[in-house]
Amino acid sequence: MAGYSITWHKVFCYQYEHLKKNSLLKRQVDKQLEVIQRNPQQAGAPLRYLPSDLAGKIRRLYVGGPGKYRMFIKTDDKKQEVKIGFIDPRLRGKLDYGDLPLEIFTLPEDEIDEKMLRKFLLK
Amino acid sequence: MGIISNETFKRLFLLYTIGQFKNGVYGKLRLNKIVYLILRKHPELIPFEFKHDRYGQHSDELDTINEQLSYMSHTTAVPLEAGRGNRYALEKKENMDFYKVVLGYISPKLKKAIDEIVVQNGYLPEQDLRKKAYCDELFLKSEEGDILLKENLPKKIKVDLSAEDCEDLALSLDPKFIAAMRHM
Repeated sequence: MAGYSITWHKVFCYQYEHLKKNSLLKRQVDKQLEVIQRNPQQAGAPLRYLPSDLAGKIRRLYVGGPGKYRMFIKTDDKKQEVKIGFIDPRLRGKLDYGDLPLEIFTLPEDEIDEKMLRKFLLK
Repeated sequence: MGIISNETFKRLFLLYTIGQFKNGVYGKLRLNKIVYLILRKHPELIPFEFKHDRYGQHSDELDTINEQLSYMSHTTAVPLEAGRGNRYALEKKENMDFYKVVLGYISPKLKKAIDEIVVQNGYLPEQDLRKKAYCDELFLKSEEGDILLKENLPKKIKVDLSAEDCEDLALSLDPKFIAAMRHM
């Protein structure tokens, strides 16, 4: 789908740089990136039950095989923009969302340092 | 069979309770008293600790989660005409059907207790509601500063929903996740 501008958040850039070459995970991430590039509206599925301002904008994609990782992107169809957010380093089904420093996304990207980024490394 | 965390349950419980009020809940005091009465009726799943403080039965955690629900825009907080406090109402009423189903799976008795207490006491004049709450046996035996109810939720709660439904519910009610997605 032409016209969508796609940007990567610093967290995703860091995660991508640290993916093992030729690993299944990297291949799957690359495949999902291709899908996003082709047609962001067909990438994964939108999260449900979100507040109105986010409804339909946050999409979840699975990477790394069944029961593995969730990747989150934010789309804005009006502005034709996609932001690749991050791959959640916690395995699917893990309940405690409190242990990942998600506040990193509320910071300007140039204020994010390596120490914070390390917590998002995929094992 | 899916699983939700105790934190997700707390937010779901409060959203459902607020959603049961036709035009929203008038003030934090009313919300505190109604939730207390619900939990006295159904003490098997207590999401919030309640203390005896100078306003009677009160839960700090309930107030915090109420604020978070409002911050996430799951509820609206409209200032009351009297100028003191807010009216809290559900923002997306269409989600209520889903909350109802989930709560019904977890505990039909708790859901019933919420429904009944809101109808019976939710719309009482504030003075009458206070009177009703202050008649509670546990409260009468306590002193200011005493803990009236202790949270007793298990860390994980089983729900007859798919893993994806549970994930969507948990993420949509997670204030950190919502803040992250808004700023991203």
